[in-house]
Amino acid sequence: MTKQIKKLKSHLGKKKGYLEIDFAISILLFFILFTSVFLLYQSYRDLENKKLILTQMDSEARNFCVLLVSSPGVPQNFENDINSMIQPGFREATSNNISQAKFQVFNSTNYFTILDSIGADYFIYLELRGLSTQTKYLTFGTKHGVNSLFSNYVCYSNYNGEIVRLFVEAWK
Amino acid sequence: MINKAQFSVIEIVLVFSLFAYATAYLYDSKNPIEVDNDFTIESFFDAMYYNGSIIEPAVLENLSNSSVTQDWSVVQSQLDTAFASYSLSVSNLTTTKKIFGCDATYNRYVTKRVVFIYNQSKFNFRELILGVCY
Repeated sequence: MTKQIKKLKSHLGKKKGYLEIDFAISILLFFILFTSVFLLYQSYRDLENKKLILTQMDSEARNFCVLLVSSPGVPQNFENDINSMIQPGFREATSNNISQAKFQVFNSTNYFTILDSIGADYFIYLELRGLSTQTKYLTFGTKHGVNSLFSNYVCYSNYNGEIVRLFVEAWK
Repeated sequence: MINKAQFSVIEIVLVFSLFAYATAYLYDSKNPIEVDNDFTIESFFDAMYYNGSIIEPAVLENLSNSSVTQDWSVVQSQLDTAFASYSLSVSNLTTTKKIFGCDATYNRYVTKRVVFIYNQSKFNFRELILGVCY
């Protein structure tokens, strides 16, 4: 009888040990999985935020490109007085060509004054280049850095009898 | 007190959550952001149109002849600077003639411009169809 009780106690003791190990492994697995899921979720959220910013940059670059090649600006003679500029535009008022006087205003005006006037949320880089001559007619601002988020858009127009490419980059 | 069976259920749920997030993450990271290039193509076609280089060959191209009859080299060089793969066709009311062709892998954006011709006291028109292949 005493032997049987001892055997039973020993058996129960072993089982208790197994249960403790199993419980510890369960806890460990739980924390590993929980941490993995948390890190993955954080990474996913960062990616989503980046995508949102890139979508806004796409939109800004596109809108600015469209605006510059399609509109003569407001007022149409803003190149005579940069302080009067409400909205920029490179197109000549009477034709579909780009006006030299209008884009040169960008060269002679403070970078941040132009950004303020267009209500830009990001830094803007502009480049106007002739397609056949490869002449660079305008460079405005600086290009994105190594670790920057950026988005760009390209529009075309005519200047001086040549098709010109307007490259717009929005970056942060 | 949580028993073993309940722990197993939590583990299984967490493993499934992990795989679900991993799948969503991998799917999203491989899915590039699509940039809407329609205005780039439209503005290029407008610029070519107003530049005038495309008008003459489009007007003079003999649509009844199956081979290309005009010099499209200037137009081709301009298109080459802007697009990697493109197609261009000229059409009147009845006939459409392909000048350049391209095969789209994913998609093709097509846009048209109409050129009016006043010849021998009557108006005629030519339609230019530009396609950009992706």
